[in-house]
Amino acid sequence: MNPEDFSNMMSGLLSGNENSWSFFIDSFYPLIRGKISKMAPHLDVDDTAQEVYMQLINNDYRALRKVEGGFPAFLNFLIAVIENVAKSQIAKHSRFSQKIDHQKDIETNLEDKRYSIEIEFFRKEEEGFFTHIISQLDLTYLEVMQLRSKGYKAREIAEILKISQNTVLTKMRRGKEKIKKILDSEIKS
Amino acid sequence: MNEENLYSRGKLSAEDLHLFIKGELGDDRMREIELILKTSIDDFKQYISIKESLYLMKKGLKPSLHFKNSILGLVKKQSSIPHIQLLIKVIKDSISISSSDQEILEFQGIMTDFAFRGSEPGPISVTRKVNGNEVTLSFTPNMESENYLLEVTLLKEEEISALLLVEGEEWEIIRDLSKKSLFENPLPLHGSMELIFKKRGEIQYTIGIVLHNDK
Repeated sequence: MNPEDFSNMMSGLLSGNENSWSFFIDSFYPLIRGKISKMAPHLDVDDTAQEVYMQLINNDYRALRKVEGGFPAFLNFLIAVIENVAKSQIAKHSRFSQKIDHQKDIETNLEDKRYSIEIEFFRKEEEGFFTHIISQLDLTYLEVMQLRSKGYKAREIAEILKISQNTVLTKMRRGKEKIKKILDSEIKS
Repeated sequence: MNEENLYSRGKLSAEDLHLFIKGELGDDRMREIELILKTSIDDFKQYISIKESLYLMKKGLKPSLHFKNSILGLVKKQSSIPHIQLLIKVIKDSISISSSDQEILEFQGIMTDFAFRGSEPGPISVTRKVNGNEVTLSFTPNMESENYLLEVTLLKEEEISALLLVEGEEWEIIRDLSKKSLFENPLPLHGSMELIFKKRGEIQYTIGIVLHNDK
């Protein structure tokens, strides 16, 4: 999307212009639907997609008014909105299906608060360790493994990265071997 | 939902990452970004996220007509709430005020009424007709404590409430503007605000205000 088209679309969205919204739905629905399907395949995708659009429309497009930057920044913004909506739908869904005991919920909340500093510390430690490992791998290995962890199939990863499906499979196998080697040497040292 | 830091993570901007993906940067910058991606999880995640988005936009399923119409229906409903956006700039001895109506995108000059006390700026008063009612917003500056007091008056005395949001957060509510018009909590000199006018719980109209102050 070129900057002029993007800027026109944004102005139109904020003023409730039907053509701009129509263009936005056509252009971005594939992304919204695709992302939801990968994150939460068990949810009703169109219901969740509708929630995403409502987040953007509600309160006089308040969320959209906060968008700064061009098309790439907007992609990040939209992905964040989709992830938030999908997560909250997943939480809602699991609350209903698992019938979690109210008292248990309260206890868990108390526990979470009590250990939040420790949890944060371990999260940072893990992040640092992860960074240390990934810095020893080539970017393509990381891309393949990250997309795989997001639920993409080898064929889709090949299309996203513009490489052959065989290369994806090889990278996946070798990537795992490399990480195993790094972990082994870390443990030994 | 925390909307503040949704898309400002990591060291690299989304624009940089997009150019990197398209291969439209110089060799040195390409190498530099590749190195950052290998050492910064946030940047790497953002990079993958953009790549993923571009792929899904190209390959994903199109919406059904039924779905598209349902979203356009929501937009139509939202757009029926009148909204005015005001931009108030105070630069040294001058004040400029402009407004944008929802139907007309271009900004227009509007009537302003202000006075000066010595070199200090005086109150700023803006009157606009919205949804058949005349709304007057009066900003009284307090340069020492660097804030404004906001008073909202309506020409038609109706039982209308006004909810004030500052930077998207609820700031204060006046339950009945016919009985009280002054917001007690002062406003910052800069920033974006929104006034939501409601009658019996239903939104009647909204006014967005952006304050910019160069002392």
